Amino acid sequence: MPKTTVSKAKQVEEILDNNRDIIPNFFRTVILNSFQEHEPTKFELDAVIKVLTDEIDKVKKYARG
Amino acid sequence: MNFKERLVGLEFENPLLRADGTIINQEDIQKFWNAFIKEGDERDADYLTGVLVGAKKKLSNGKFESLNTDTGVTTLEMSLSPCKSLDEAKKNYDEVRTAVLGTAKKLGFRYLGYAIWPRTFVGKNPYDYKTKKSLYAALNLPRHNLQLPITAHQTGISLRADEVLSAINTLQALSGTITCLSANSPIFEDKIMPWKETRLVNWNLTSTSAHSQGEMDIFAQMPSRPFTSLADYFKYIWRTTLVLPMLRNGQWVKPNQKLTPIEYLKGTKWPAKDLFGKDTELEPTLSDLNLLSICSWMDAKPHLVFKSSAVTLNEFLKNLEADTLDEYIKGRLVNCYMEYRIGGSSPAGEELALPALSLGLVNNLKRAEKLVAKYSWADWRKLRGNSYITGMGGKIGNDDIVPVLQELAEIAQEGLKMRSMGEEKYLEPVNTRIMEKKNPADKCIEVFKEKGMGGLLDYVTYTK
Repeated sequence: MPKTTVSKAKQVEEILDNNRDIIPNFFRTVILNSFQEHEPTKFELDAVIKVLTDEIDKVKKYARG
Repeated sequence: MNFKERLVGLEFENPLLRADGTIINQEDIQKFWNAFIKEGDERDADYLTGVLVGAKKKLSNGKFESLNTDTGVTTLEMSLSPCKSLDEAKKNYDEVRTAVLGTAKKLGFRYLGYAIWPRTFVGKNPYDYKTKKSLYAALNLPRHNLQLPITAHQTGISLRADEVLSAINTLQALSGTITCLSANSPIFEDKIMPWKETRLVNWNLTSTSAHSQGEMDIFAQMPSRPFTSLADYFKYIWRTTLVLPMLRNGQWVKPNQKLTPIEYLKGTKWPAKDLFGKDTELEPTLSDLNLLSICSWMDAKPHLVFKSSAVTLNEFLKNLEADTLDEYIKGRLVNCYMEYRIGGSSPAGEELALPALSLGLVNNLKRAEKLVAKYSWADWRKLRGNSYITGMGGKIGNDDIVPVLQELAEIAQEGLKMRSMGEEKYLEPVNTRIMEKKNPADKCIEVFKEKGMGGLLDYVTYTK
């Protein structure tokens, strides 16, 4: 994987690590495994980061706000 | 306008679990099918894996109805034929469910009336539970395994050609209201989630599979604007490369190169391989067009089946380019309906509520359009994006959602009354939810807090 892609995949893992109270383990397993099964593109990783961040922000705003 | 000939079809998915609420495995589902299939029924074994993945059940009316497991072996799906009325659809559904429940009870399984896997895959590898279908070997969706613990209740409603665009825009706009009313998957991995519909989080994350080309929203999320025409719709859903391969004699065949649907349809012959690895060629056909036209998984999904005697690929592509498909399809379809995909599995005894709501809205489309026009598309989109967290406590614009839900139910009731079949009785659970300001997820959380996992499992399991 190119350096920028590796760094974005790492960012996904960090988001999942830092939000274990919100994102279930099942999602973590499938998302991280998918990077092993299929080399993600930068666009794809950006999308995963965006959707995860949106979900977490929405939970903080609407469910816990 | 009254349209009594409008048919309604039910596609119901429900979880099958062990008595302790853990998931059933590959061996269990084989036991299930072998016990379920009786004389006169048909077995459905996958051509590639050889594994039994479903059955066709012969009903007392002589019709065959299809059952299979969806992505996970723990998801039992029944696809029931379209019927003239909700009463007729319910009769067929009751017969199939009785057969399913009989087999489940015999094997000590729970058949759930909610879209939840309360214990999910805790301590297990989810990949061991994927249905062994060739389709999944052929699918171009990297995070498709997110779909393992998901069940929905979808309703198919027949449309006239001139209603398609309005129906998909209107029902798509209203999808957030359906989630407010019907969310029911709040327990996952033995705990209460910070949202009421886990299923939609799965879909949102699955949608990232389409982003390999920087595209958004095709698989689940609401488009950023309503569609202006059918050509606009097709161009929107066909921006990514092929998600599904083509079918030849019931078997999947993949083009060797990455192609968008439009590129594929414009070609003459494409080098390809079947799933056994054998080289072959694909020549685009009208059947391919029919398959490609349903390769979208948005909440309000049109199914258009083109008449082979009246449509050619060249003409279709010319009309697509000229933005004249809305006129072109008139009189050229052998089937035309909308699949409304937003509802989760319904609690026992309330299964016909969402089909009734959807049918009533489509049958009173002009009034439903007026409700949609009261708010901006961005407001509806925001509701769709938040409804699975807020449930009945949601807002649209600055307004509480509950009065909007009341209006929605009134529109559906009026629409059903136009059919003069007494189908409005099926809306009762919807009215109760609005009156109590509680959706099934809220009730589920109450039961879990009061009675724990054992009490919850009993609450969500079918007994008859």
